[in-house]
Amino acid sequence: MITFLAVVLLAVGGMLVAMAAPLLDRRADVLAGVTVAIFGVTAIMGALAYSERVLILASLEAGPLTGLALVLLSVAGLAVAWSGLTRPQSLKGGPGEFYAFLLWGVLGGVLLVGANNLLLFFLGLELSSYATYVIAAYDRDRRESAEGATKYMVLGALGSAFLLYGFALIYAATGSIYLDAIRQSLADGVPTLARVGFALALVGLGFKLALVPFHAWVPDAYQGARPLGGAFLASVPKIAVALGLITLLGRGFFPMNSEAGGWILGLAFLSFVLGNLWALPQENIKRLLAYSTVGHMGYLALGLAVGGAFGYASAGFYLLAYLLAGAGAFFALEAAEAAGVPSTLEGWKGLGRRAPLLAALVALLFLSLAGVPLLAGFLAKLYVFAAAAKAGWYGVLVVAVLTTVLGYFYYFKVLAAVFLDAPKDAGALNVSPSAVALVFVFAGLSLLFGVWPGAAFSVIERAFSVFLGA
Amino acid sequence: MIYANLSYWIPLLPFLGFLMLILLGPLFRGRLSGWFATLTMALVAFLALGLLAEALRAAPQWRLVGGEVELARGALSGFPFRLEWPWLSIQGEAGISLTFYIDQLAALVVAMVAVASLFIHLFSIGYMDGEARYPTFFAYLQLFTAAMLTFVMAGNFFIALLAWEVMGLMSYLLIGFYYKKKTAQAAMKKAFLTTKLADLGFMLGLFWLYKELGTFDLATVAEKAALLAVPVASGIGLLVFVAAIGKSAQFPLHVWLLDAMEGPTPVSAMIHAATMVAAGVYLTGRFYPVLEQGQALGYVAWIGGITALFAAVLAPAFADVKKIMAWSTVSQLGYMFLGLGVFGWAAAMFHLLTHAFFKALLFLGSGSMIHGSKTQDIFEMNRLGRYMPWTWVTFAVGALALIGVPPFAGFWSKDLILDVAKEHAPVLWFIGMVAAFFTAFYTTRMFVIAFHHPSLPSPWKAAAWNKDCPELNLKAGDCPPDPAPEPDHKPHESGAEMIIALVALAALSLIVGFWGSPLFGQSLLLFLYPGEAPEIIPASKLFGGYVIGTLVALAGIAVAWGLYARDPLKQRAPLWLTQALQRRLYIDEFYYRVVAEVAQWPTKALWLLDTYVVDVVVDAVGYVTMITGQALRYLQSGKLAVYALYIALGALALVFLGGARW
Repeated sequence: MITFLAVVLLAVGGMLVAMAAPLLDRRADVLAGVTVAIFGVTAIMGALAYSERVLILASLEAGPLTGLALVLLSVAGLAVAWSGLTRPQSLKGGPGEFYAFLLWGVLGGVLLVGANNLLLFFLGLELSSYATYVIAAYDRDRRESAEGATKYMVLGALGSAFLLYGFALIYAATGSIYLDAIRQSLADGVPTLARVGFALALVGLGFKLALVPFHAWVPDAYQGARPLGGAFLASVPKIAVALGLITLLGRGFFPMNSEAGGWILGLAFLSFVLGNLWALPQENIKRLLAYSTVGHMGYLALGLAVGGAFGYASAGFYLLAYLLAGAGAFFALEAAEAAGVPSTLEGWKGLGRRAPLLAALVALLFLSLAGVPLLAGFLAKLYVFAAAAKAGWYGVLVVAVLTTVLGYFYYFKVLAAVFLDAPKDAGALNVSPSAVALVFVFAGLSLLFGVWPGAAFSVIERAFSVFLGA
Repeated sequence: MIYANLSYWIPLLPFLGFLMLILLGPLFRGRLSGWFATLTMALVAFLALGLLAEALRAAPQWRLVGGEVELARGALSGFPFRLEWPWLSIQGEAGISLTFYIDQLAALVVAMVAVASLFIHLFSIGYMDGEARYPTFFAYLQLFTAAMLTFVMAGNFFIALLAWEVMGLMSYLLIGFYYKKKTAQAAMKKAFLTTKLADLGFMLGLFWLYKELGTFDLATVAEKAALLAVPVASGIGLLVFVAAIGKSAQFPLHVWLLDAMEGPTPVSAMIHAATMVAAGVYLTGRFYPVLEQGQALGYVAWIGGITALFAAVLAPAFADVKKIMAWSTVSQLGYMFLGLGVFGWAAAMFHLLTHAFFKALLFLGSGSMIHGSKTQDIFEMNRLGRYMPWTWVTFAVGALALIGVPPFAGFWSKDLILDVAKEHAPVLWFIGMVAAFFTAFYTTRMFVIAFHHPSLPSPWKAAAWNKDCPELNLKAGDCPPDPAPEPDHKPHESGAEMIIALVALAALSLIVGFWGSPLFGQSLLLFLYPGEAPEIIPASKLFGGYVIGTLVALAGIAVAWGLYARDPLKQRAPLWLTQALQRRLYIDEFYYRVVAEVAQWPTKALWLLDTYVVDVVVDAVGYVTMITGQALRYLQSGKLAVYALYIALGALALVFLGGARW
């Protein structure tokens, strides 16, 4: 029931914020405060919902996995809302809509993870996607923003079409849209039609997850959006779709897991090889992070491909680590952009001298992204690689480990610019304290989970073992 | 069990104190940071003493009846105390948990570290007054203490290793606290490199141990040690013992400790009395079952015996009060290893405890002397006994404890070690006795010259034969010697905090000594009783040893008094001997000139390999990768239709894999 309440709260909260928006156009801080409060409540509700075992209206599964998604998504949403406070007046499209879509984006993600029903899954995905389109396009005066968002939306529509067509084929093959029914139907043999259907669905999901070759929208959308939007794109849809894919695999398509695992492995392989290679020559930090996201999603998908409680848990921990470091890096970009530093290597030169605290936190976050020990990113990779090793994929593993070296190269390129190069403009930066506080929390958590992963990992692992046992 | 359950706060509090001070240091004005850190330590000491009291109640009670030890009452349930949290876990492996394991020894050493550290903190409030990095100094002290406490309480060796490394780092930072001084820079490097080299032994030994037993857990290792094959146990034990040699500055890795005196004096008290050097002994004590199984204790005993004598012989050639103390630390630690090596486990731990207090006292006392007289050179000190009565009294207590005059602390513990040695290895007993003579000799020499003699020009600074030896100055180049105090400088007594710390440590070293003495039934030793202890014997059998020990100590005092009370400057030994002793038997020079050079050969070979092979390969790989990255950019054309094409192609591939054929 708590899950259901959280869903209602997100939906109604979004509507209220949207309705109040015209009245409060100049009071973005109030809207942000309300949004932060709602996300705070839903995050707590998510933690409580962890122990629930209910199927609501035969369509929404309230269990530990949904609870986990609720917590992660709410935290991501909360952080984005908080970060919006750094320069509230610059939300040209009106702050109200921004926060409303933030709430709905999270709502869509929760529905998609908890879905026991292909229709609900699709609707949740679309709800979440529309939020991302709007947020990516929020700086509509800027050409890149409009361009990136347009490409994103057009290609997104294409991806959704594939997904929906795939679902239709699955319905045709199994005669049901309920995941448990589909599973039963597939148990005595998977018809080609269902297999093709799942393959098409994977196109749509791979698109949202930014897996190669469905990734092409990523750099333009990330670069076009403000860093805040980048943080949203890098966290909410990724968490939702990765967990949603697990929902599909574990609940509905369990009988064809090993086959689907092979396909995902192929996408993962392309992603971490090409994504990291693409990131190498980038000069724009947002673009660099966009390509590195492709690589990270590749590693994450490696865990998904392995499957089983440990494989999923490794992917879940990867999500957590990536949420902290990836979104944290975008929040740092937001803080720097708000202080007038463009998100390019050129602009970031000498940041270490202009804003030492922010630069130190950036260093932590980037080191976590690169996978340096004692930070969450390292253990996340370790867990995923351990899962791959258990599955016996040593060839893939060698390549995956080698590609992390590329990551070291481009992340350290940024850090070298930050700490070793002389700043063009030597003045100390006036960075917003609230923005730095947010980055501090994300960097601190990256460190905490890097040193003390045990509790978080066992919570995640338990969620998946319950989920798979059910 | 209250204190046992709260015991994780013991290392946590100083760690939090460290965080506070390092992050908010500038907010603490004046002496506030010193008091803050000291109060933190007071709380820690309170918890540690509570823990000790609980351990005393819960531990098995032994009784000495007619020369035999018998069990009066078994351990209460829940003892040894154990706190455990999951930490690193990987499926299918035992993983590593964060475990605190508190048995008798841990409880005792925790209390010792906490209390000694408390008084060192208190002393530093006054001693470090006016230093530019005052809060930083206390922050370092806090983390150092936290690391040592973690090390002692660690229930598995992996955690112990982590804490051990943190201690290495902190000693590096503290020795180099005056990092603008060239010699301090060189000393911090020397200490770090020497101990780090030895630490490799700890790591290798641990990994080997894990490979053999599949666990890092301290209690499990102790239980299963008997399962190890003798050569394996001996290999593991000796590897770990190498680390202990490095940390506890035993021959031949003693070279760093003397130069570590570049740090502020309270640091010397901290590193060289209560924490770091004690860690080596403690570690050896913890690895005792493995060493015993490997029949490797003989090496431990001989290293300890040689060091005890060697350091005690060198000490009389030095003039710097802190360096004399440093040699004395090396020598006393040698006694502890000697005790461990001859099965006198409990006696060694007893000496560890007494030494921690009286050496902290002596170091802080020498800090007070330096503070009052503005010089470290005992010859330049001007009849301090007259000007610094409190320092005089407390230093005398420490000195008598070090010499081993009854009833002072060192007497009880040192004689017990020698007594065990007499039974197992008479040669080592003799070496220990000679070392005891020299101990009395150098201590008295220092005491007489510093406290009772008017100031003199220092022969050390004038010694011509040391001029052509850059290694003596740590190769730090031309550094002028510390200036002598003004001729009319009147020494003054130190402030109240410093005096309180000295008096408290003097009292403590007395109390601890009595606790283990036969006067009180050796109750400390019975508390530590590991199941077999040759040193727990009725007082009557100890009497002979006591008499000989006292006579040797008195002889050392008498000789030194006779030689130095009148004319300290007279050159009595042949010059070559003085020179050899002052140049530390040329061992440091050997390391600098030969070992360091030889060690660079493989480095140079690798450098050539690196430049001409590895770099070329790496550059080639990097170049190809970069080119690939650039080329791949063309795939990202920015055209929507092309992107859609990618999606379509991907979809086709997936659908084909899914089984669709057309």
